[in-house]
Amino acid sequence: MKQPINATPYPQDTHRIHILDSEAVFEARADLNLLVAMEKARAQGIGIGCRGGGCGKCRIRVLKGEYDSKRMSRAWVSEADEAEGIVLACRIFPRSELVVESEMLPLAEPYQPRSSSKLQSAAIK
Amino acid sequence: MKKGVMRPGHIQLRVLDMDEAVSHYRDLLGLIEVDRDDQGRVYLKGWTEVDKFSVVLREADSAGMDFVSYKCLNEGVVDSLKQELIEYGCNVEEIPEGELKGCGRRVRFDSPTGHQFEIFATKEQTGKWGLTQKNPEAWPRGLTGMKATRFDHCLLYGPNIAGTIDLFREVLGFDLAEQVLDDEGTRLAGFLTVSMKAHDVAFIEHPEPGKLHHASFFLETWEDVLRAADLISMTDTSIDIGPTRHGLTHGKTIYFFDPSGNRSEVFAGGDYHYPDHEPVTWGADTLGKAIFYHDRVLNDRFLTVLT
Repeated sequence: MKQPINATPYPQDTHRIHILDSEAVFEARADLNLLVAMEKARAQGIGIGCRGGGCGKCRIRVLKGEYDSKRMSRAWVSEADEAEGIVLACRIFPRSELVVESEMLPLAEPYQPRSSSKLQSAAIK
Repeated sequence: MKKGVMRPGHIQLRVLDMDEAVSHYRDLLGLIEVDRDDQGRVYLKGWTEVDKFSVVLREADSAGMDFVSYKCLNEGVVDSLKQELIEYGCNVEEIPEGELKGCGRRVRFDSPTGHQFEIFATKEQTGKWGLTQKNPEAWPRGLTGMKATRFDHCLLYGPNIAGTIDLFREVLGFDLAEQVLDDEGTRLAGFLTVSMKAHDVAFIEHPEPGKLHHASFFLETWEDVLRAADLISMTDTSIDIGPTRHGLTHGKTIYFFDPSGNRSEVFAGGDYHYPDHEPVTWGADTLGKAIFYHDRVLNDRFLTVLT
């Protein structure tokens, strides 16, 4: 993920990330967003989508730790969500050890971006 | 049957950070930045397009598409189609001249899939960028990035595509060029054209309304698609899939994301369509090949990552 050069205050720092769902643990660079850091570490557990804060697929809850964040789509993360630590992993930058878990999307439909759509069900069948 | 709608005119996209978005659409895709307005919107176009702009970026707190707009032959067509849209049951709104700089009045209407569409007939024509109208050279010097030639189409996801496809065919005069049918004959995807192109707009059935899958830009050759892929790697841009070929339309393609998560496509080639052509049909059991002709396997992101 492209980041402006000036937005990398602690490029040398790395922080340990724990993903509860997959029991994954990896070291994430502070100048990379958490999702791309996970991909670079070949770890799994957070959904990979657009990597740009738009699609909601990497929605997580941060249970413990500090981070900086960039603007993320209000379609997936409300201000109240953000205050509770619900974020898109592709828009946060770890500033300490983090413990996170994936967080389902607040949709009226049973559909979730991580689950099958009708077209997909047809293809699988 | 043609009703006087000519072609895609412009698409307005929401972006989370304007500077990053401009860097994507202007510097990477190679669109020409032509104007900005007092709302902070940025106007761009591909170099071959004769109208003033075809892409409008608006900074907002969510990503996605505000609307996509189709250009008609003249204002008389807009008037008569407006009446037909009202009779069809759409919520119709007049957008006054000048709301977009250099564009005449637009008629905006909603659709069963939850997308906002527009028709218009008048827009400032600035001509192909960097070329003269008389004795034009082959291409202009000074293009950047992928040198995208035009905004070509968008793929939209939403519920009840049958309804929106019917609206586009019956009221706006689009033809169904390609489709995906399931075992029961239910249409899961429809590719519509109002020209000879394989698609001017496409729809895929999906439970969430009003979703954008991608905005697509045309390149001349497969070599240009490979060069676009090189640029995506050079700039560490978020990639989706490709370069590859679609079964549907047979276009040669690469998908990637803008910095707000809106998917972009650049593609070359593809099938053509005349009004007497029967729709090309793909079965849902061959969907992998229909979407990605070489892998023959659908990736999860194609169906679920939307803005």
